[in-house]
Amino acid sequence: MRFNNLLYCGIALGLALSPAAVAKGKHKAAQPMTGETARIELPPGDDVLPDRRYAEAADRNCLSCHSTETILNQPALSRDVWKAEIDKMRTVFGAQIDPDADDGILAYLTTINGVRRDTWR
Amino acid sequence: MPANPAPPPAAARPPAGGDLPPPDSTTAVPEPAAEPPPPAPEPTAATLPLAGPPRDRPLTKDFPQKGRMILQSTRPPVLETEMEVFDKTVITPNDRFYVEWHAGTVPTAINALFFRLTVHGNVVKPLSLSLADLKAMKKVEITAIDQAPGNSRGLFQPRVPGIQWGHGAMGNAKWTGVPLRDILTMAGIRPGTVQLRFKGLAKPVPGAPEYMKSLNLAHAMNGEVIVAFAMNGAPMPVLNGFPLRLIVPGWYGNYWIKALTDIEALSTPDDNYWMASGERVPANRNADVAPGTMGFDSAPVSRMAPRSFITNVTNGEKLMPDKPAIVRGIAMGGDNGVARVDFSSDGGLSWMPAKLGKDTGKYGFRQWEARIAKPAAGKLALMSRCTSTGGQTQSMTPNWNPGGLARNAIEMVQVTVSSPEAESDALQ
Repeated sequence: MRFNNLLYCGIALGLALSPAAVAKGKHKAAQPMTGETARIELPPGDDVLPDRRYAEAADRNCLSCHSTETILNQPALSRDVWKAEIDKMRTVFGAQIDPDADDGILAYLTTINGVRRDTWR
Repeated sequence: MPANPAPPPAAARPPAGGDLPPPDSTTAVPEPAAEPPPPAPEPTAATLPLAGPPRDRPLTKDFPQKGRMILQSTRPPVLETEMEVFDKTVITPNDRFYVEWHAGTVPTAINALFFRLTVHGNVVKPLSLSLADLKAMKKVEITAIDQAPGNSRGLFQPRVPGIQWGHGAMGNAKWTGVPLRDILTMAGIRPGTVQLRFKGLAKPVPGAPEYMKSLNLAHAMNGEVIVAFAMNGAPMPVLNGFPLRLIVPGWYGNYWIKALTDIEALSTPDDNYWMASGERVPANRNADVAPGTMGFDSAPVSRMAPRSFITNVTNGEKLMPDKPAIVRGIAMGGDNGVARVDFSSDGGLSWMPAKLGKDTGKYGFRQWEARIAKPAAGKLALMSRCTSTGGQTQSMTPNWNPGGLARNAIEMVQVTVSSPEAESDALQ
């Protein structure tokens, strides 16, 4: 889901939004609010990765932040490089990745479309 | 309106390479035969000149306020500009301009009446400025290139993880806004301020560091850094940072905070993740380190380097033998202007000066053009090499760093010179 940024921005700045405007913004995101609002709708993207053999762990742990295209466009990289990426997502970006999921995610990233991807390091 | 509108006459179409003076008679390419070819079907995919597969990307028109773009990622939106866009004009149209957001929440609804830019921290008078307040101030205009530091990451060898960009994570626009200096002067920067920190409306995923970048005080006050409210004379597309964007001419686009809403004067150097740990490169002139090196000195990726690209010929294209060929492209001087561009059709063994197009300011693209008088049959490696007014020249050897940032080497386009007769002979 997407937050209504105007709503949060408005609260942060302590602006006197009328109750009607807040309700509109909160419950009917597609409707324009008062004033000159720029509002866009973004395409949702896919919720599941192709090549299902190892995709479940990757679906569950990667797709909340990265789209399928980004994952599928990655070059052939070794298991060690991908392990370091998973650790970075966990320690720097706060990703709640169950340690038990690492093997499944690594299996997906190193074998996308059945190609063994361990050409470097 | 007729059901089948006639295609516009050839003369009405904008000439390619419109920023260059018309070619003189010695470089003129013979006019094609009178019968215009039928319009080609619109392409649905692009092939990027990456170091390895996958190289194909879908083309999309699904994003708001955007025309046809190369799809790198739907969520967050990451869209690349096709090279042919840069061939048409040195100013990149807003609806073809690249887009990049980090994972998290992208602003999708912004009310221009309620939007405020706040200035706080080590200042005499904290500010909360509306768009109307800003538009009432003295306006300036600057043409400048916004280039992602990861532009061309997909050409890194050894490969590195991240968005696998071709060369289209860049664009050149005319930005209108207020000098940052004037805003800071209005707030009254207190003594002891060392940096200004900038933040936009985008929110990171929960648990991730907020996206913030900082500039040293002298840089922020140099008069060239602006808070822009217009891009090529129009409000910015939401995906390019409506309603305000920080413009840092000569520096990579990661500093160009989109939907800029917060400026903080800091009395100690910024130690937030995106300055102290993320988006850093080897601390040398070319952001270069041997693959696998650990523990090198690093610095935030910041100043851009000279680059140049061929825009009218793509990899694998066929040229006619013994027939003059015009090769055209764009160049940028990075944090300086373009002094010269040289062209090679033999993989860098010999170089000839290219003719430069109109100068639209030191921070913008400059078009260039060169001519191959008599292409000999065989394979040709076409290259362009920019030298900036700061004396920096693109090198043949690509730089490397683990983030895949700040690539700036000479790029190559490979073509084949052969006549149709030679090909049909070969087939028999």
